[in-house]
Amino acid sequence: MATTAQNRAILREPAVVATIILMFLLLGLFILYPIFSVLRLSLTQQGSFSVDVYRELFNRPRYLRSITNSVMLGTVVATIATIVGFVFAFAIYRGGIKGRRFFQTMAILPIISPPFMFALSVILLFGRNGLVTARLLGLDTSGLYGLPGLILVQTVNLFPIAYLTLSGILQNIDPDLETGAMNLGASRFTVFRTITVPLAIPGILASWLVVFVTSMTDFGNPIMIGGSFDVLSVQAYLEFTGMGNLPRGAALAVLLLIPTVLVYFLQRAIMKRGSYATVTGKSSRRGRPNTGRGMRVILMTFCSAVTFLVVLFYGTIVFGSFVRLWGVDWSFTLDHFSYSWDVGFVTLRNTIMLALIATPLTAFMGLIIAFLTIRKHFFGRSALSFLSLLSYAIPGTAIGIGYVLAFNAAPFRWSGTAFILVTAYVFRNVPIAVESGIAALKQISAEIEESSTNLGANSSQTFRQVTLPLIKPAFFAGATFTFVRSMTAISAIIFLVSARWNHVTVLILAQTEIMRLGVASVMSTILIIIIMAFIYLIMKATGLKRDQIFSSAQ
Amino acid sequence: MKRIALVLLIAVLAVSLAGAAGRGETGEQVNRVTAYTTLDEELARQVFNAFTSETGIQVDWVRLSTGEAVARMEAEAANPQASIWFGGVGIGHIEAQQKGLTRPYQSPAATMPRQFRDPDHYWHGIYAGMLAFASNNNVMSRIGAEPPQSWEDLTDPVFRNQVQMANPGSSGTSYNVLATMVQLLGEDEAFEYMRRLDNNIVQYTRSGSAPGRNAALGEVGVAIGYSHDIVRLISEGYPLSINFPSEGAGFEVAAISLVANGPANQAEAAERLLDWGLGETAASLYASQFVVPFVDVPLAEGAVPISQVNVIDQDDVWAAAERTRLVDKWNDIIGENARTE
Repeated sequence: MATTAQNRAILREPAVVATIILMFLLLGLFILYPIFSVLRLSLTQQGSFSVDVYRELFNRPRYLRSITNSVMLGTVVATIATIVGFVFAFAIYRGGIKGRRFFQTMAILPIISPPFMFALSVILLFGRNGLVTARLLGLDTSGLYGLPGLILVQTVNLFPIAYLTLSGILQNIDPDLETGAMNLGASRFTVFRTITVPLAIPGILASWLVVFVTSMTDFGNPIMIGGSFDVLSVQAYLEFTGMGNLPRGAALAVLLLIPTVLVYFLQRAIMKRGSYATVTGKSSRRGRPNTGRGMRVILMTFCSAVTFLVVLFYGTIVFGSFVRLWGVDWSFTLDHFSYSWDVGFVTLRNTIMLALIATPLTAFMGLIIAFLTIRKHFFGRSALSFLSLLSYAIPGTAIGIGYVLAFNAAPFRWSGTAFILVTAYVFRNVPIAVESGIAALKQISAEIEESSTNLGANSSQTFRQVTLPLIKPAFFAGATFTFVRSMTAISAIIFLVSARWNHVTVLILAQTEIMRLGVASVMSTILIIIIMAFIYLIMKATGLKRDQIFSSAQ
Repeated sequence: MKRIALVLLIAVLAVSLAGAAGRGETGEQVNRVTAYTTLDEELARQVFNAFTSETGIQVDWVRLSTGEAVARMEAEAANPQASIWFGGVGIGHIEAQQKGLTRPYQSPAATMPRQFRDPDHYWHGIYAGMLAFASNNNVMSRIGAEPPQSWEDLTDPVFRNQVQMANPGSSGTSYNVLATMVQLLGEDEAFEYMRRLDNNIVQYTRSGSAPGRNAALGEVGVAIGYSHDIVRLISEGYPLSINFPSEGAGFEVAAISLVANGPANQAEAAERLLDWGLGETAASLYASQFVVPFVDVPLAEGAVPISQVNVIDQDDVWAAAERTRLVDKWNDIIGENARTE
């Protein structure tokens, strides 16, 4: 808590005070106000307070079912994805398997793909006209539409989140601890059960919760292959834009919002309290692999199988780009490319442009907020950090509906503009930039900055000449992720696109719906290539390592 | 200082973006028009490209289903983004008119028969399309069935999990089906019928044109859709048969409306686009997609004029006014167990 003296000290720096106020205003306007608008609409009937909309929702089995479906999907996917992520992290950092670097890459690859890309693959492979189901096996199935397909794609999509969290934790467990236990006669399994797992428990819990929330708020996969399996995010969208029932759409978004916000802060509390760092003086840091030969084969097989699935999904999309009519006419064609160019070029160019505008803005804003909350003492500091992290917990569906409601009338007439898309990118992603900024600043001793101040520099000089160079990796990590997530966004963006400013993911969704799968494949392939090229350029230009960039993905 | 400069930069960027996006309220006309369209994506592309090359007016367009377009215009009523809604089921256009979302415009190009335009000049018909069944021949021989010839045939258990239609809430095509059944059978029996039909429905899609494509690809056996979509798929070589329901088919009058209070500086361009959309060049483009326009142009082979089909005597004004209630009722009775893909 800032003392009165510290509060007063800050007043001597008007630039800092102005920045703090500006940050509060921006976060209030672009995060709190839209959410307030959603709540207000869902709780108003004929101009006065009412819970009728919710009463109606809870009286109709269709909506109740989408609530239970969302929770069930989240639970199953979180459990499987956490297990897969744990096995991957364990195999790579403790299991001593071969090809570590290859598997490391494979385990984070799904993070950079558009969220619905795997759903498209599953339609191509296991749909009613799927390559595997219909062509190879000759099955007449309704495909993997529904829960099984969703579990499959979300697991592949989301296990990297668990992997990244858990690999950080497993790397922090001192191998000497395990070696010591083994020297005392414990079996490998006993070591695993009594040391490795207990130390990883907070990470496992945290991963589970993050995957749970991400799965529940996912929109791209369920709308593509959800089939008869209704979930909240899709229901809210259908009510809001398909049926034009705005209050009901808003209420469904609120029902999605409540659990995600709660779970998100629960997860943060666990991570904060439970960082069981095992700092025990100097250690060799390179223990023997904690696995026997048989175990290593099992781990290797498991990782290879998952990797095969990831590669298969990517390969299918690329392959699909060249097939004339999937399931009917397998001949080679380049037609989908020219059609995509015709329909999608302007949209793709605009998408890239807006993402590029949002990227530095987000990274700067994240750094400024991180700097203020870590280094400055002022009244409302924790409120600022809370606010800046809040939007990470808010489902895209709620943000999208909120922006439509809040920014379509005076004084904020922004719907249909590029500006509203850019603000959506910035405020959806600013938590990532803040988090990586905070993590970086915590590692830099405040004394370095103090000496700069003692030598006569003011706050902004210090920030510019001392702090900024030191947190360069955090800055570019935040920037990279903002770019990737802006390019692949859909859940919030789908409410905000307009004829003038469309988004490439929305276009891909539309192509999938009218079964123009070749064109959807082409657009997905191009999107992935652009993202990979961007990451490559950032790594080249800044000299950052892949792990430094991806560490902020959690 | 740099940080203040940065903050200023952000502010300037924000303001300039907002400003650039703010629409000129000065009334100065621009060579640009924003359109919502419910035409098939490929047709929309041809139509708007032809308009642009002929007039130099740029069209920014996005494809929305009929239900989505009405919902969108309603949500944006305080600050409409589009100037024109191009294509889409007439019932939706009448609903938009009833909700005050569109504005009247007396087009000099309105030469279509009287029953295909609004007496008050709110909506302007461009072509008519009849509801029909698309049956995939391969699926038919596999399940050993004849293509359905009537609404009643569709409920035959032999088609269990083989029939697809769109969700009447989001799709104008599908609401057309619901309204047709109510007008044919009376409300109670119509919902009884929809319930029986539901037994055979594999999935309700969001868009009205999706079922036809799914039937073409063999994903489903029978799709309910508009005749011109089905004829087009047949001409593309898909193994489909087209049949019109013997009890009587409902039909759509695809239309164009101008959005009420749309961007003021686009008003003229939007009116030109509407006039052009009713003209001969546009009509031949529609005809190339197997519809039968109200303007006399050469038809594509296989196109079915409305005069050759047993259509019902349909009341679109009634259907538009009843949409919310009927869709809600459908949702309560059928949608409880139904799904929308």
